[in-house]
Amino acid sequence: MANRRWILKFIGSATSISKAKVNALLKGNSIHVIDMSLFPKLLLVEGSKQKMNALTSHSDGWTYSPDKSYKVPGTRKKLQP
Amino acid sequence: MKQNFILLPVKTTHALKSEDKSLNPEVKNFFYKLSSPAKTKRLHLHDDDKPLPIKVLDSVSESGAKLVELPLDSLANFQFSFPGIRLVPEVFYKKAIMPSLPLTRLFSAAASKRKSTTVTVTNDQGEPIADASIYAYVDYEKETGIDGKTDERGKLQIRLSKTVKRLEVLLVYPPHSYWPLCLKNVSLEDAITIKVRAIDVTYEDVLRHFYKTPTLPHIRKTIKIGIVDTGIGPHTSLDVEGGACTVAGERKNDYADCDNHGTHVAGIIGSKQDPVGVAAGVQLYSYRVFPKDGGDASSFSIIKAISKAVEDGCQLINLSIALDESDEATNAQIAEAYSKGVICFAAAGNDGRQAVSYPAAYSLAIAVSAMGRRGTFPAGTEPFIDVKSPYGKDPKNFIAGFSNIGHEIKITAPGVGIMSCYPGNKFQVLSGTSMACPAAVGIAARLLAEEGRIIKRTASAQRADEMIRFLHSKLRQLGFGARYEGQGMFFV
Repeated sequence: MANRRWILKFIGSATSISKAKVNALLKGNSIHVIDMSLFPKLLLVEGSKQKMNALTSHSDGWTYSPDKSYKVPGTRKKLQP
Repeated sequence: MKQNFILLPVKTTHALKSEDKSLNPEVKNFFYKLSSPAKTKRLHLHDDDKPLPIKVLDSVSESGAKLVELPLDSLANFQFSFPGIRLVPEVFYKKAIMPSLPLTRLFSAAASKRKSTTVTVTNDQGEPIADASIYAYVDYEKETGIDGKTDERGKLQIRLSKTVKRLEVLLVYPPHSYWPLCLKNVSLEDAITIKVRAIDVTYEDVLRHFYKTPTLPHIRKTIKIGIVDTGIGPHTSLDVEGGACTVAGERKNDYADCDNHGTHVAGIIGSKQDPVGVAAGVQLYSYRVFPKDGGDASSFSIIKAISKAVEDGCQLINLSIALDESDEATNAQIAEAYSKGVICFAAAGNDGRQAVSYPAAYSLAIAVSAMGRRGTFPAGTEPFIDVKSPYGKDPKNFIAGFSNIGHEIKITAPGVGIMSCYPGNKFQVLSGTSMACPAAVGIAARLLAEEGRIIKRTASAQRADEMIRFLHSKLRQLGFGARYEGQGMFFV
């Protein structure tokens, strides 16, 4: 299954989360961290959907959604190929 | 027409048990009011003017999410009357079955059957205009034709089938400093020469027609606006107070424009020289979310940008960005910003009367459509092609042909043929809901700065609610209908 970027969100009740533990957990699931600047609330990671499913189903309080691509609305008219 | 919606508080799904202290008590009361056994009754919830009919169909619990039926025409009115409440359309899931493949039509001709025409673009002095984008339409409605860019001599060779004798529409977009042109019914000769018109920064475009920006006083520096875009500047007409680049792997303090879109957006709000912005004097913050390589902006970089703008103290955020599907992560961040007293305005999208794009379509964002006015752009220029019904009470006004529409639209603003800044102290004319959005944000900033009290309140959902109510009182409908203009346009 192809790798893609995901936003991993912590929705659990824990008040303090160990960065080292989260890193180890992600590494153990072959998920690569891209951006931890919003840790612990949000992380940008890369991995397969299968790995993300495995991660979130075995660890409490984490959910994920795809990292989507936004554009500026085109200011010019369109032309079909 | 009516539709079913789910009503929710800003962040939670439960109003009365919410631990969110920023939740407005009025929101709690609102959910309580709807908790009475009113499944089949119509409740009339009054705002200042008239009652709003709302039919409660179901409820998760006494103070939990409600399923209601609302008339679509009153959607924007509802959201301005009851800010701080998320309105999520009830959706229905299908079985995951494979859709049929789309049909693709191609427009081509063999080389031997093609005719060549050289298009030359110059200014009034006959100097060539390089890098001008040309769109030659054989059929404008079907979007068939050919496009390209002029070379250093201002020339582009176009090759179309010999059977094509005329172009229905020829559009010319100089990179900056000149108005884009629109020529109709162009005979395909061997050579076509086009002269473009220089931008006169004192010209009264639609933005300056309605807001007379050169005569407006500069506003006090009490308002901070975050512009989440391609970056801002450099431009001598724009003072950028701060910001960040939130693109993964790029330097955080590199928030200058990597394109030209963000600079144009910023100029509409805060340009301090001609063409003067609608909120000159405001504090501009630049959050660059688009990468330098020309790629799209990721939702994570947008989330970071909104989060940083809130942290920096911005009270208003401009999102002239678009996605054709809902994005849970960005929506959640807009809700988070709202709960901290910050309102996000978003461009409706430019797909020509299609559904409102996200994040504009998200109920806690202010979706802005684009309007224009005949007589506010020179004859033969590109905005002419955007004139389309509906026309307003004043028949010179129209909702731009490119503007997306729908019941998520909350307001409209000038967005056709708008003069603004281009990096490197140049100027450019652009049309789009991307331009209408900052026009609305800038005027909202001006109105809030003049009012003065609300903006000083503690940053919370209650402040956001008050800002929305106050701004609602400054809107006037132009006669386009709710799907096109929501509650109308700001007037100062």
